[in-house]
Amino acid sequence: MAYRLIVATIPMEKSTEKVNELLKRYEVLSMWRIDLPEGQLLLNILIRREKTEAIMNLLQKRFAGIEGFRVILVPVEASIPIPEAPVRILPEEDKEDEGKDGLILEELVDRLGSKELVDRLSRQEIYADISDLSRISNVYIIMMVLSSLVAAIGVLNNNVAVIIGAMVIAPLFGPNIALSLATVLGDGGLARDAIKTNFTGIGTALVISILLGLFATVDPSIPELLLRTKVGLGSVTLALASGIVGALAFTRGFRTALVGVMVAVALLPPLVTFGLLLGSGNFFLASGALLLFMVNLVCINLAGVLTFLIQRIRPIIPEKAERAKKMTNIALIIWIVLLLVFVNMILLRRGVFDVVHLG
Amino acid sequence: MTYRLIEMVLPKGFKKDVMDLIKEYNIIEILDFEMANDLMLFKILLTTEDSESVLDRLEKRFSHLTGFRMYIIPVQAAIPRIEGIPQISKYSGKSEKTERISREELHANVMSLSKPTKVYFVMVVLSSFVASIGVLTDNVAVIIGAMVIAPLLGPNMGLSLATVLRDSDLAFIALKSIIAGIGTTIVVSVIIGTLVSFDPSIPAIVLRTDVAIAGIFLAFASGVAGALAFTTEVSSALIGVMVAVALLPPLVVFGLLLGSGYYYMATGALLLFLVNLVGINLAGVVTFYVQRIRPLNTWDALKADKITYFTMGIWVSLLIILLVLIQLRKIV
Repeated sequence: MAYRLIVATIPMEKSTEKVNELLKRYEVLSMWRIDLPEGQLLLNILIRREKTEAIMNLLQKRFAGIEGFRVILVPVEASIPIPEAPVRILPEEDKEDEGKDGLILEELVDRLGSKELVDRLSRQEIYADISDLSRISNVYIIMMVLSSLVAAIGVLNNNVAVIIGAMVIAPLFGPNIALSLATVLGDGGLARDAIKTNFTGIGTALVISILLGLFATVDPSIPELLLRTKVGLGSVTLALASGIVGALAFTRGFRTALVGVMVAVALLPPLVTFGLLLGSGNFFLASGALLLFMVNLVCINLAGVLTFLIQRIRPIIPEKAERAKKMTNIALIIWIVLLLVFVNMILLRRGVFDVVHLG
Repeated sequence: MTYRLIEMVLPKGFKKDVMDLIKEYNIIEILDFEMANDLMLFKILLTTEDSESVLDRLEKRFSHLTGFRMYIIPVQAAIPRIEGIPQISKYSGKSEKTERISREELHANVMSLSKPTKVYFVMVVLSSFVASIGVLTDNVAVIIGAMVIAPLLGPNMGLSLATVLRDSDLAFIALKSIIAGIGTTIVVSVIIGTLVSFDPSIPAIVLRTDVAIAGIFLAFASGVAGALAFTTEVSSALIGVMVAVALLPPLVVFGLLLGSGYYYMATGALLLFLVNLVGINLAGVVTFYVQRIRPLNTWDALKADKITYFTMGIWVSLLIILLVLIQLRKIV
């Protein structure tokens, strides 16, 4: 579904010639307008999905706040003839001074964020996809319970396939990406939802795996169990790289890549391993699993924020943009500090610093 | 929160009726257009969770009219962001939030995965080859690939859905796909088993000839997750389910062992396959039933309930028989 149909309902009162005038700048070719009897204007625009944001932004800026204004985005399976992409988008009113009090990474981002990288789904579509994944619902909790059970069975039976299955069933990746999106959009409500969902999910998995650890016999020499108590600097790189791919999968709409990300930087198996080991009293091994889980969690969040930042996902309303900048700065500092702490702990566990002290 | 756009075509003159009906539900927006041939088009925007009750109501009221048609379109995004819909519905107390897609959408999705098409057979044959190669070379990654290619989960979900909806057409189609798929896989793997000489102590084979009680829990838990993935459009979770409770590898291992004459080990693989099959079907029926997916008419719903209980009974007794067989096999 590479195309989208933008369906906008606009009340007539605002002079509608303005719409034509505005959209001419974008050289939209496939556009139809229907006048409704109730005095509304219905606008249908067929366009490639990566190009929707500019038009959505424009409509939102111009008509937001008017009673009865609504835009929906509908996927299109195919179109004859193929809709032509706008050849060139005329520059918007020259960049209003953005001021130099910007983001830590603002300049770097502007240099990196070439046109290629910004070619992505519209902010609204990404938001709709991701916010749906961050809500706590009965289904979410049931999924967490089921995937924790599956993961525990897989780990205890040393069955790789079952563990991979559990990784993909577990809905832990969504809330973390939602937290990153909330950060760059300065959306407090979404951030709260995402954090709540995250904690609930982690709590559920912990309770189940600790209980299983108390009652089942856990042999700490199972290879799949041991694998998840070892954490090195490679884990950090892996988690960062996969986190970036995961965020890109959302912004480009390649959902199949998500499955790969979930498997590469799984959150659930280390968490369940931690619970199992804790429940059965293997505390040192458990700390390794916990560290691996925390490293993965922090790296995904850091990678998510950075990716969204480079893809220039930002609110268009000025006061929101201000808050988004603040939230992004704070979040970046928190995640980087946490990551440094964990890297330090990894090195400590391996005894790297002991050598220095003894020397 | 996801949204659906329902488009409905009706003969002219029912606008007031539609508006009166719709008023009681949580509709975000409704538009209407006059069209040629004395027809009208209604566009109704609403949340996915509310779509089933509205579809039911409209279908009950208007489906007898000539020219009546409804179709459901997914919506990717909406501006302005829809924050909490005003609860004007006096029915909202009665029809509790379902947290799932509508019955019609589910039926369309499952139906397309249950049909025994040519592509289905080609996929089954190919995934059997891939799984055989994966098992014989003890390559976990290849086996997992085969699990995901294999289209066996769809028809089983189709059978469960057919049960709770009392849809004999779907049940027939699904059963045909399941039996034909299993048959094809066994034929392919038995042939490979007779042609290739292999060592039955390969870990990937041994793992799939050993059934434990945990296997039943695993199959049931994954089956529930799979059914939930279908009803809530978390499609990525489906892939996880396919991998966790794979139907294909045990079946292929059974065929390979049968073809090369290791009959005792083959029974283990067969038992594991049957446990997974029954576990998924039981989980599917139970999950759909708990989610209250049932036919539109009250009369049909009552009959469907009966069939559902009956089917659950069959699956549970099969599971008990399998448990006994597993224990017997250990003694022998």
